Amino acid sequence: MSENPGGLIRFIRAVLGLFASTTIQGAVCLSVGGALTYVAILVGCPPSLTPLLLLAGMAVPLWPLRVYYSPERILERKFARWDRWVEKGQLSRSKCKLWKEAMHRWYASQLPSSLVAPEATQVPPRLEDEK
Amino acid sequence: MATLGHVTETAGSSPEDELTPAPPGLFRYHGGANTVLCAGVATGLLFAGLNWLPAWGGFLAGAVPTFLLTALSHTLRDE
Repeated sequence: MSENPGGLIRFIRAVLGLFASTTIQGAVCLSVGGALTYVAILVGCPPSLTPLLLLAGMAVPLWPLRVYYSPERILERKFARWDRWVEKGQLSRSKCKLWKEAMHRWYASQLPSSLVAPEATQVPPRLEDEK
Repeated sequence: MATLGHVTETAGSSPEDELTPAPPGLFRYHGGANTVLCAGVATGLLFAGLNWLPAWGGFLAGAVPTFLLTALSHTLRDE
């Protein structure tokens, strides 16, 4: 890394991006853990169990968050929103297709090569009703 | 294929006014952040359950090394 000055910049960028994402997901985890701890204390659990309850509650939303923030789901949500715009007439079908193709390529280029299925890099087939 | 610029989506603007919406830049880090939290929670529960460390210490003992390793992995992957 020392031979390549860009390496340090990339590392700092990765640390900042990771920290931002950890903050977002950590806020959800802490909220759920805190709520669980609060309920448990109201029910009568001893205060000595508070740290364990907090951690146990933090573990609950981790899997749903992993699924929600997976690249496929992010792509799916964006595409669904654009489809709604097309239905409402706010967006032309051809432009929606253009956006989807661009986003497909962008995601395929950003994902590590080991995670990209061969079909993910291909442009989706053109629909019959599109010009 | 037209050259596409990145324009941030705003609530009031018309979709047709935009070229291509900005892709979510953080999405690459969400998986790693989830792993960091998983590691922190797991070690926190383990160490606090065994009374080896306080819960926050156990959390940091798992989360911090995982955080650094994940950031390093992202850095090497981007090269």
